[in-house]
Amino acid sequence: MRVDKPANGSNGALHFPPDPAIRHSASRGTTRRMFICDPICVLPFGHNAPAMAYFRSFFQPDFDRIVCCVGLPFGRDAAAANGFRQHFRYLYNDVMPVDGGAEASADTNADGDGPWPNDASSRTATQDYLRLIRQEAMGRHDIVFLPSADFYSVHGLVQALRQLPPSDSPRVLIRLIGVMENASHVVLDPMKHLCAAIEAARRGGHRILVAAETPVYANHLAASFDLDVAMLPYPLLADAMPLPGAGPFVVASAGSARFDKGFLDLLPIIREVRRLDRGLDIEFRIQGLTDRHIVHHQPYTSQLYAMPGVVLLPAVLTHDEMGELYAGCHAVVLPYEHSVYQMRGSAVLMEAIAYGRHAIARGGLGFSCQIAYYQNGALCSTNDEFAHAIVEAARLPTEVLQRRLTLARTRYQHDTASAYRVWMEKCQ
Amino acid sequence: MTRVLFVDHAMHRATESSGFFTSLLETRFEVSRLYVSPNGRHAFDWQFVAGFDIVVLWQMDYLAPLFLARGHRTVVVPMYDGSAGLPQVHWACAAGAGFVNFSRALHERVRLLGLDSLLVKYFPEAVAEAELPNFDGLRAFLWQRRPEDGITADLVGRLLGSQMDSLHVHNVPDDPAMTARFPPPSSIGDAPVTVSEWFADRAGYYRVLRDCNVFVCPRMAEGIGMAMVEAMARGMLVVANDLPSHNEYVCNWVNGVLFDTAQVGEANFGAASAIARMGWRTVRDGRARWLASADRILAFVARTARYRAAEPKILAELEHDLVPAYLAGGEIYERFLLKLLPALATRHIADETDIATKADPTVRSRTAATERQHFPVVIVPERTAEAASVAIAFANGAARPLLGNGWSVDETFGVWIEGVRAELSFAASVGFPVASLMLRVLALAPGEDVHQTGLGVTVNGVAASRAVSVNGGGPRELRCEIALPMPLTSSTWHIEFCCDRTLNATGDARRLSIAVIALSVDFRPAVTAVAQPVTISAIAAPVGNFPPALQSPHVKLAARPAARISNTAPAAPWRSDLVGPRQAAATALDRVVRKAGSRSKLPLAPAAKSRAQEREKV
Repeated sequence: MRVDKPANGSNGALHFPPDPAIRHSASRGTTRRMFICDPICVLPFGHNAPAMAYFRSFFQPDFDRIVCCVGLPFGRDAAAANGFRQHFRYLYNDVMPVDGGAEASADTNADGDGPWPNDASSRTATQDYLRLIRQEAMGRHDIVFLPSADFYSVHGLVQALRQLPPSDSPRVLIRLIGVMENASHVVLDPMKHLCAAIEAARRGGHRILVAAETPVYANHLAASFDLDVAMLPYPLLADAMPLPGAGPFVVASAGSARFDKGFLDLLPIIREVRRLDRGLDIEFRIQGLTDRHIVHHQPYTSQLYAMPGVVLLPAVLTHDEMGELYAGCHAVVLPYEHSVYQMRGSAVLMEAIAYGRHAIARGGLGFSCQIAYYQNGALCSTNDEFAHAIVEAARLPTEVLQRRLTLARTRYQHDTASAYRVWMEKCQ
Repeated sequence: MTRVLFVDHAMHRATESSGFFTSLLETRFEVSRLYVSPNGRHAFDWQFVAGFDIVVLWQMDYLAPLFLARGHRTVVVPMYDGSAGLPQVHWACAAGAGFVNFSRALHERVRLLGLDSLLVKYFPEAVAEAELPNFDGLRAFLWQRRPEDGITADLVGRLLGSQMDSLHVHNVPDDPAMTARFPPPSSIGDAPVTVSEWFADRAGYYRVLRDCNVFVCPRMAEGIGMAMVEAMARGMLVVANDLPSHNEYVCNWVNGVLFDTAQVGEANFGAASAIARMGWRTVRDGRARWLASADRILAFVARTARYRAAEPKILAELEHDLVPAYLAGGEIYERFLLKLLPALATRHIADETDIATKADPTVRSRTAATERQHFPVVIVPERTAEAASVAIAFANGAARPLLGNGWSVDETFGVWIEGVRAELSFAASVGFPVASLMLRVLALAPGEDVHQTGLGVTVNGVAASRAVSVNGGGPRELRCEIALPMPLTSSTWHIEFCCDRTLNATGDARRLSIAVIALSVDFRPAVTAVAQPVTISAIAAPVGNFPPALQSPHVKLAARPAARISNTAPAAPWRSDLVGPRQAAATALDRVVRKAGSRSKLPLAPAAKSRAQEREKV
């Protein structure tokens, strides 16, 4: 097994010469290679980077070589440190601006010659995938895996495949998580377009498998777009950690304090917890608002800051700090907005399961049924229910909670591994 | 050992309210105190000051430029009550100092201006649980310190009403003239009112306090609120006005009670005992965190960087006029600093290496990352001391990185506002405090017969609106001049457009108001600012008069200069046909119509559609 590590001194530039040995080997069909591609993995913090590393580790036993391709803004040093390859130009600076992310073509031809959009971003994505395929001399034995597919990535990859004979094109695994696949600048119904493009490519002989992150989203895609779609949650790779021993029962609210993640519900929830927990035996560690939003929510944030037993954390935490947050808590609270998360999964939930942490979430979300099935937390409807669920969890003996979470983790891990195995077999 | 000069307000010599901080500093540094009266001119012995490694300004933040300009490593500990109302330029001129903030609101303000700030929260030692007061009744204590602000015995009476058993008023206003103007009553309802004046010693104050269990904070806002946190530490129920730092220690009805002096009515204090107990626990737990933060504070002070001294001329001007200007206050102080800002800001910004060595890399990278994350940088192509302009084209998604909520998908000619409201944000390094802006928007309505008759524009929260007219007959230039209430040194700009109506075109589910084709922003400094109300003017100016910058629109987007990425858009679609306004407008519309023919999602007014169909026939 070989995991790509950019050589020291690599400038992270676009041009990676093809590896003749790999090409030779690939052409014989003896080297099993997977290319994990996430063009929106552009920040060394957040969820995408660890996800890439997790997927690489997860698939490691099954492949001779795994290449993780991320967005160019990821940063040379960070990419080198993670063994990632900076490859994709970043196309979402409008919805998720990042340092060095603004790159668009000066090409003015925004009209396509067919049903597919052909704007600058679409062409850029297609070019990036074609370049990757040609540099690596990809063939039918190779796999391109999009772990959290975005619109231009799927669109660009499918368009790139159309330029290859199906007999020589790599297999493609697309995992949809219900976030960036709808982020298009030129298409009014992006998901409909993507599904049509995938089906067209399949009819053309290309091998493309699609999965969704949550059962609810998989159902939706199957029903709405007549798509053959598997359900593949996040694989668990972080080591389970024992619950913290002495001290208060710690509840974490992870992820930059986004309103769709229920940041504005935290104050009433904690207020009720304080009413029930007079001894301050429950502590909350909350990631704060980003600069853009904090100026408009000073009174609210001040009240959270004044709340006893609350530690306000910065909006941006490093990977290590996130690890400390999960390791140092007993539970995570997920009062996510139903309208946004009714089909989506939660990276925080996945991390919570991986670390062996209790999850207290709103019912009816894309991932709620996973909590109900694995019994690794509680589902709530109202803020008061959240508060009571937190207090109830805090009153459980640690050993009981630990055992419950360990069992949930084991079941989840088994189910997830099976699901991926089946998917990979289908891909052969 | 590092020598620290601690410059403090003369009043604190008696109150010793900064003593906890100097004690902390003394655990690592050799500290000398210098008390300054803000009411008099300061003649600093600079030779004496030069003998110190670091200067710490406690509450005297207005002196920071003076010390910074002399090249002293300077730490500022500002207080919300004294400094929250000071203009942006007050902080900008202290760039280069390290800020230790006891107020979260002030910390955010300073941090968002790009300055280096450490947020800390002080808690004293809490009394033992056995010493907590009983709550068999409500016995209130008020130091009637600022009765002119409305925090009086009468207010306490209205707040606690019949639930109050007694009130003690320490009747020593900051302004002695208020003593006679606000005499405490002898009773409020059935509750007797006792009165004291100056205590012989601190013990006298505590004796009175011990007999009470409700502490009413005496001022509208505080820097730290030592009396407040001490009362919490004693297990008293704290009742305070809803402003920092009160509302950063007191979560309403959880560990204290917040009020608004304008809306005070009798509240139910049945849970007073439990709330007070929660306040005491807040301090008990907070104390451990405060002690744990000591090392961070000391490290922050120790790594404060030294900056190069300013030119002698600037030094002389600061030394001679800074304090008088500060004492004069308001516009005089602001104008004085604005005059010096270019020299001070340039000096600090030029010393990037110093900043890099000084800053906590984690904190700084966080700030920078989040700032850049949300505000794409627009390069100002040319700027002078009098003006700077940016031109932003919207064609082919060129402005997409700047666009926030409210915009539809990219078109070849611009971007439609979907609904009636849309926003964009960007950062532009203008180089001077901006007092006013002139916005020029080149816009198009969704149909020839559709008129937008109102357009609102907001720049960084300053709004302007007036009747305007845009229709589908071709691009129209809308001019909008906005005079900011105070010059902004901020380099981030947030612009919102609000229209008054939308069109739901056939075959298109979107409701669209106007398409923005290009935007030009002229930034103007304070010296040329027009101190007039916000206005929007110049309706439907002909396209031929549009500024050259937008006749060849381009925008360069970069996260920072080193990573500048050119994003050149093509010439505006109307430009090649600039025979006259009418022809240009018609040509632009024709292009829009042609697009509409191939892309059904573009809304078409009936007249435009028929014209397009006619063209097709031809």
